[in-house]
Amino acid sequence: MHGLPANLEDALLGLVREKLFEGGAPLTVETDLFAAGLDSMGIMQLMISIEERFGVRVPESAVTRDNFSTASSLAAMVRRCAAPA
Amino acid sequence: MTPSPSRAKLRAPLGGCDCYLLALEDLMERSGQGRHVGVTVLEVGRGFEAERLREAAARFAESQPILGAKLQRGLPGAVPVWRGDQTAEVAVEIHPTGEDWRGLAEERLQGQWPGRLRFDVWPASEGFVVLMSWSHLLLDARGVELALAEVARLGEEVPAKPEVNSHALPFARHRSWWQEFRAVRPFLERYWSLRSERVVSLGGAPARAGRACFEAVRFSREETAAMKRRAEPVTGGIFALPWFLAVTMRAHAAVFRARGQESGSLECTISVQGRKRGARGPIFQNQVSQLFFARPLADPASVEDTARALHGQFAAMTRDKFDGAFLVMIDWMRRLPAPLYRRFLRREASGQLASFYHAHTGEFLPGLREFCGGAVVDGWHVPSVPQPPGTGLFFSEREGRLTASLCWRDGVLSADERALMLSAMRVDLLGAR
Repeated sequence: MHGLPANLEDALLGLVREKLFEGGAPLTVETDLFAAGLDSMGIMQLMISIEERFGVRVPESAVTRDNFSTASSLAAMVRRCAAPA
Repeated sequence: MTPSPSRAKLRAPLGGCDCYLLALEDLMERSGQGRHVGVTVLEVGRGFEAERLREAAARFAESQPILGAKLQRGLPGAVPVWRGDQTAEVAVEIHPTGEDWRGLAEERLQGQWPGRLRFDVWPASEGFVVLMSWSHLLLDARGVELALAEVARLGEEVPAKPEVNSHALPFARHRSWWQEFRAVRPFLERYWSLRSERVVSLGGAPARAGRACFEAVRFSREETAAMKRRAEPVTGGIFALPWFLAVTMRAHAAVFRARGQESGSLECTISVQGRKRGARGPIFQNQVSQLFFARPLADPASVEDTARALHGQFAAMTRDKFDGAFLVMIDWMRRLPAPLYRRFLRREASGQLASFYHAHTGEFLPGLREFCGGAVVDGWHVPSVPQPPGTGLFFSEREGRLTASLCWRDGVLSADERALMLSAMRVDLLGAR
């Protein structure tokens, strides 16, 4: 699991802000990203950005509403993806 | 238009998608199809005040000089620009109660009105219908909603937020030609693979005149909720794009089957937004890229399997950064002289590159509760579709209610074929009922 930053939630929130949302958007690690406007294209872009930034493979089965709903749930998913099988 | 002596002269180069649409509009006008315009229908509650809209529209025109700018094409090889320092007059016309607003909406779709933005208002039983007619050269669907939100802001007694940026382009340039060539490769590879397919459209080539027509299908909240439950096993509740594209493809395939046509390929380009989520601007110019989807016409799959196949294409194109590749390509093409661009489109768009148009523009104006004093009840978009391909199916949602707009050119679909297409759409969305 090494390779992931200690503050993964904040790193993911930064990624979400950088790639998907307007700079001034008031997002926290618990903000509902779907309520904030996350759509099909955004999810796909976010999934690929996570793979590129953190070097993990996100399986299709992990792309669920629950996993992509907040930066916190994304962090939990990334940790599971990075864990040895 | 009135001159604004204090205003600096605007000079806004057209973006890649704007230039594409300019060439498309040239072709449409040459074949008697009029301008490439759209109308957006907004239903508002009883508190709506037309005078507030009139004032807000005037303020909007004053604050957004691109509305009054003239299009200058320049010398061959130059990028066309919006240029000017005039303030546009945005018409706001109030119509009598009982007038057929759908008929006039269709009239506005023909593009035979001056300017690039206008409003029509009708009193209705539960409030008002506000129709915004817009030029696609200047606005994409998201831009239309941002424009409406800005007019709503200007229609408030004390506008709360600062005005928004009008036309900054999000296109990120690469550092060198070599990087641009590398970036454009995914587009070229997919484009050439699709070129080997025989793409079919219901309109077929060549381009010809025909009135732009539409029919809006409004679904109840219960129906919309049922649709979401039905799609959930495939979309996971999050991937609407492949599902609605699959529904649209199959609705078209049903008409082809009824015509006895089974061979060929259904292809569709889907716009993806360049603006970030939550952005209040830029309002103007087409800030989009495109993804290219394709399936065999004789696809025997269920809507679920078609959606899964399209999802696979969606994932592959996103991984390849196809949207960025398309933007590089279309940016290069901005310098094509107009006759060459038209020639390219005449060959490529004559039913060969797109079988139909389609978009799901998502939640309509989320967050906008009030428009010039009236509660926002519902809203949806109706673009005019060029022929070929001659048909399009568009979706949007407002507070849990889906609206589908079937758009076509007169002569492309018979009444029976329209009924068949909408019936196929309903069955896929709701299941056999």
